[in-house]
Amino acid sequence: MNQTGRWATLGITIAMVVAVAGLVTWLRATAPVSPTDTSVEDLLPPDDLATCDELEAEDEAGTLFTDQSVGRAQSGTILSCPFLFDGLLVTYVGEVVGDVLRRDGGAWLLVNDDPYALEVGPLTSGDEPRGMNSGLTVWLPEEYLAFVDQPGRQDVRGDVIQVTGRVNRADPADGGGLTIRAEDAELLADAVELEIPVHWNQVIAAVVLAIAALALLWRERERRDL
Amino acid sequence: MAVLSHLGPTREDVAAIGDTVLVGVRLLGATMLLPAVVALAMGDVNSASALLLGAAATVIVTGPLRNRLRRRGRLTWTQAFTATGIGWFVAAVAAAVPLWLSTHYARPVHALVEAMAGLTTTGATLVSDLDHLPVAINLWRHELHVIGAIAVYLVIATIRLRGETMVATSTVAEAGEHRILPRHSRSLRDVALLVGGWSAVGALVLTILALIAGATPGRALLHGVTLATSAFTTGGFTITSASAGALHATSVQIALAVLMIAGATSLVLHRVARARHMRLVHRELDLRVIVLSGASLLGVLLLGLTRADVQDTVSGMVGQGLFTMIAAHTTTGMSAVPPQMIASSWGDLAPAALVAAMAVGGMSGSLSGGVGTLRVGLIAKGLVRDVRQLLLPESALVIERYHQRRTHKLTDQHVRASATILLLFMAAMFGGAVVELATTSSGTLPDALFSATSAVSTTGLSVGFVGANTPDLAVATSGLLMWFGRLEFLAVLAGIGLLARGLPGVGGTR
Repeated sequence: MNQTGRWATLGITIAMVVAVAGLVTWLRATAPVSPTDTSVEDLLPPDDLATCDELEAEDEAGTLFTDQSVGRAQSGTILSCPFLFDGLLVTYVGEVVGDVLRRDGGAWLLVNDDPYALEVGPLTSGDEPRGMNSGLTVWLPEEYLAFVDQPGRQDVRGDVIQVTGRVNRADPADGGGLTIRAEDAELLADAVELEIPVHWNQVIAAVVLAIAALALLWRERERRDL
Repeated sequence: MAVLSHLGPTREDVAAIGDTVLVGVRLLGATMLLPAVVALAMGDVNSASALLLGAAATVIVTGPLRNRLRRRGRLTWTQAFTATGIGWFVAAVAAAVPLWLSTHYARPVHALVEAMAGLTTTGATLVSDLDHLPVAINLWRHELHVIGAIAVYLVIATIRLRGETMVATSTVAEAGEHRILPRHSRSLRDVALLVGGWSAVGALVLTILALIAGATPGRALLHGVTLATSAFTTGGFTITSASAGALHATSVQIALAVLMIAGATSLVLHRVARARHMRLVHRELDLRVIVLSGASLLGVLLLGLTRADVQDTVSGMVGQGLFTMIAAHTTTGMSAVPPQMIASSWGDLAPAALVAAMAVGGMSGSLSGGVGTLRVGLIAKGLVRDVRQLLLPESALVIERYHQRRTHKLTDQHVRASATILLLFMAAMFGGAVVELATTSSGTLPDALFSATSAVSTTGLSVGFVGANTPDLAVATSGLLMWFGRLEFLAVLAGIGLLARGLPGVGGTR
C-alpha cells in the first residue's frame, strides 16, 4: 500500500465514523414521542422536607408525618434518612413495576415514585430522560391485591397505588430490607398501555445500512476468493 | 528485535493490531442481531432497528480498513496486548450505539460508560428508567457481560503467559516479541463452554426459583437468564432497579452467591475441578487468600453493621452482610440494599470493609477485577520473607514458596510485579476519587473513594455518587477506571505507549 492510499483509507474511515455518528445523533433527536396520556389525578403533593436535618427537627417536635398536609412521603427521603422513618406511618404513592410476588397473606411489590411513575410517564422514544428510577418495596395485604394486576413494563405504565403503611427500616420478613407494610391502599390510576410510534427514519436507516453492510461483506468475500 | 521493540509500531504491528480489533468489533456487531430478533418477535420495531443499525455500522465503518489491514501469522504478545486495550474501547463505542438510540440514556457518555460497564463486567448502570427499559435492550446489556467474560477468559487463556503472567501482566514486557500460543479455537471453545455451561445451569435454577418466588413464567425466564449471566460473569446488571433484591427470596440470593463465587474462581481451578484433580486444591495460594480475606472482611463488615445498628435481627444482618460482601469480593456488585442506604445508614466501617473487599477482588485469572488474591498473597509472602530475613543471621537464606497448580519459589520479580499492579490500582483509585470529587458539587471523599474503587475493580457497587445527574467528566472518569482496571492497566498503557512511539518526536523511526 502506498502512502497516498493509506491516507485515503484513513480519511474514508474517519468520514464513515463521522457520518455514522451524525446519523445516530440525528435519529436520536428525531425520535417520536408517545402521545399516550399517563397523568395521575388526585395525587397528594410530595413532602417538601428536603434534608434529614429538617426531618430530624420534625421528628423531635413529634410532628413528622402525623399531619396529612405534609404530603406523601418520597422514596428518596426515606432511603436517605431510614432511621427517622423507622416505624412511622406514612402515605406513599407510586407505580407498581417489576413483579407482583404473591406469598401467603399478600404480595411483595416494587412501587416507584419517580417522575416516570407519577409525572411524565415511562420513558419511550423521544422523551427526555429524567434520572434513574427510585422506589420502595411495599408489602400489600391480600385484600388489596385485586386491583393490582398490571405492573409497569416497557410499553405499559403500571397501576398507580396510594398506600398508608408503616416503614420498616430492617424488615425481617424481607431479609432485613427496608419495606412499607401497607395497612390501607387504594388504586389511583389503572395501568395504561402506551402507544409507541414507530421511528420510521431509524427503521429506514437500519435497513439501508444493513443492505450496504451485506453488500460490503459479499464484496470482501469475492476479493478474498480471487 | 529487543531494540526494535522500543521504536514506533511497524506496518506489521499496525496491520496485526488493526485486523484483530476490526474482527473483534465485527463479531460484537454480529451479536447485536440476537436481541434484534427478540425485539422483532416482541413487536418492538424501534429496538430492533436500533440494534440492526448498530450491527450494520460495525461492518460499514470497518469496511475501508478491513481491506487494508491483514494480519500475517500469529500475534506477538505486545500486539495482542495492544489490540486488547484498543479493542475494548472501540467495542464499547460500537456497543453504545443501540443503547444511545434506545433514548434511555441522558447523554452519549452515559451510553458509552454503560457499554464499558457491560464489557468490563462492572455492571454499574447509568440507565434512565430501567424499570421500563425494552427487553431487547436489557438483553443486549446482559449480552455485553457474556462477551466481556469470554474476552477476559480468552486473554487469560491465550495472551497471558502461563504461570508467571497469572502474577502480573507486567511480564509481558519481557515477552513482547514472542508469538502467543496457537490455541485460539480450542480456547474459545473451552471458555464458551465454561461461560455457557455455568450460565445455562444458573439460568435454569434461577428460573425455577423465580417461579417459586411468584414471578410469572415469562418474567421468571427473563430473571433467570439475566441474573445467571450477570452473576457468573461477575457483571452486576439486572433488569429492575431493585437489583438482587427484586425477587424477595433468600434462595435466589444463595444461588446468585454460588454463581458469583464460581465467576471469581480462577480458570486454573475450573480446569482442575473439571479434571477432578482436587487433591492439592487447598494449598492454592489464591484460594487461601480469598477465604482468609473474605472471612476477615466479613467480620469487619458485620462489626460495622452492628456499630451502626443497621439490623434488628442476626439473620437480617448476616444475610444482608454476607450477600453484599460476596458481591463486593467477587467484584460482581449486585446489591440487595439500595445504594442510598449504604451511604446513609451503614456508618463508616462497613463501607470501608466493602472498599477493601472490592480492592482485593477475586482470584487472579478469573472474571473478577481488583488487585487479585494471588498478588495480595504474594506481596504478603514477600513481606513475611523480608521480615524473617531481618530477624535471622545475615548468612541465613530465607526461601518462601507458594502453590499455584504446582509449588513455585517466590522470587523478587513475583513480588515486584504484584506490587506494581497494587500501586497502579491505588493510584487509579485515589486519582479517580479526586477527579470525581472535584467535578461534582456534592459528595464526600469516602463516597468518592467507594465509587472510584468500585469502578477500577470493575465491581459496580454504588453509594449513589455517580449517577444519571453526575457531570460528564466524573462519569467519563468512572468509565476510564473500568477500562484501566479490567485490563490491569498495562494493556492500556502498552497500547497508548506503542501508538505514542509512532508519533513524530516521541519515538524512533524504522
